Amino acid sequence: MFELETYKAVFDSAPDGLIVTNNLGEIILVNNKIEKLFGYKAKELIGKKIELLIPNRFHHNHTEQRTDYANAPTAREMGAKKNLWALKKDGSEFAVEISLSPIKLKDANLMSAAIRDVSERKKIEQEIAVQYKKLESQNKELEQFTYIASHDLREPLQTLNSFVKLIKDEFAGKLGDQGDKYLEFIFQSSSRMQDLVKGLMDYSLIGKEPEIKLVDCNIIVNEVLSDLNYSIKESDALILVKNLPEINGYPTELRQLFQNLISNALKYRRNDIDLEIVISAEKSGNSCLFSIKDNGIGIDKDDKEKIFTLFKRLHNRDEYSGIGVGLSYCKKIVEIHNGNIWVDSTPGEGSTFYFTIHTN
Amino acid sequence: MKQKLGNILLVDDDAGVNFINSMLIQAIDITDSIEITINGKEAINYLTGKDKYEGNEAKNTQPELILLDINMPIMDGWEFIEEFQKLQNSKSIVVMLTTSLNPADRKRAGNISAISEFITKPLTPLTLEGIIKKYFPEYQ
Repeated sequence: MFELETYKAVFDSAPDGLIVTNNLGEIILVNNKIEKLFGYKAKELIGKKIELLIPNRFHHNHTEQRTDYANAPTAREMGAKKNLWALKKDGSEFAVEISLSPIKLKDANLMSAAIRDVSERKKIEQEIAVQYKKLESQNKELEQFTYIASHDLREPLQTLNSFVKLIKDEFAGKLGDQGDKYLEFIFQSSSRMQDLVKGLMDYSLIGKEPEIKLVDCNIIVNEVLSDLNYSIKESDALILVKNLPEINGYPTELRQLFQNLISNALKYRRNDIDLEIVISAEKSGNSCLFSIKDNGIGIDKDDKEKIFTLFKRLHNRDEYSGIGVGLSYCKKIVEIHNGNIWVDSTPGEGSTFYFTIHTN
Repeated sequence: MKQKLGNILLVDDDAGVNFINSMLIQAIDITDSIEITINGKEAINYLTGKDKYEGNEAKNTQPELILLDINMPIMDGWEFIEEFQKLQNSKSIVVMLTTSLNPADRKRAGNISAISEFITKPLTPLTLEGIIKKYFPEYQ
């Protein structure tokens, strides 16, 4: 079909190094790329054992494997075997991927190997692995720092708050109008700071429980609902809980997750309509999609991401209390379960919070 | 008699900060009209006479100076500035961004022409007098 020259040109221009050996493992043909990769001239390779191109430490194994392979040859894909090394003429080594294909001719069984230099990629992979380890330990350090800082801040803050309370109790009315006002500001600020610092500490503690357990979400949600009994009665809410699955997860955190989402639905309800909350779940493959749907005040499109930021609040303090931690907790809890959390909402009509939990 | 500013607008969600800043302003006696708003949205409503400020134009004196906080619910300081810049008279109003120490905020504020000054909290009488001297030399 083609001239021999055409076949040779294709062979030489291949992007990978190509070597053909006979059934004794002797090199009988190489392309140009092999010369570039290994630093040998073709004529220096022809007739030599293929082990010439393999680091010494692999020779013993390789000769054996080569014999086995020759007896039962099958094609092997590029990258099927990890951590292969090749030896250059100058004695240096480089990481390679090799694919093997047996060639059956009338009078001989040959073996063709395509060799790809992957040292650059290996280097990048190693760098990524190092960076990942570094990031992981920095993350841990940061959590530890947050915990220690918030923990140590609490004590002096507690003292400050106690003494302001004492002054308020003992000297109210004796300090003049301004004095009372100043004290009230100090008291409010130190109380708020206590809440914020506690919020920060609780945030850093999420996921510290080491044990993953099989959790029945029906039981957890029922417990949460009975804890919230007072607010549920007060808001006259109708809560529908569909059948929920059992999942593997952190029990305390999962409880906190449902607790935050349900109490948010109770808190951000509309005054002109009876509150309805529907809690349901759907399993698909290895993950489970939960949803908590309400007919409350809803969330603006622009705020859908913001609400998961630590300490971010959408309302004035006198409208809705709180320090803006609930949904950040939820996000962190879902993330330690390798899931995602997001919200669908129409302002004025209601919100549906979705989260996924990986079940294995 | 000394000439005073028509109005100063305070924008901060912390009631204590607004209280102290009002006292400072009263102490240097630079205006008789201080308006307190607790987020950016309320401040924009004040400036444009909307929502609870509607139909109250005589009272809604446009401020010459705004003290603006950054972190606030509903509309924060940065979002306020974006809306504020669209207003016709924004160029004639001096905006002082007041915030806790954060170098990144300072850098960001430096790139926004509508922000005249960046002040680290707490505001002191000295800083306030400096601002008045710089932007309103005729009022002292």
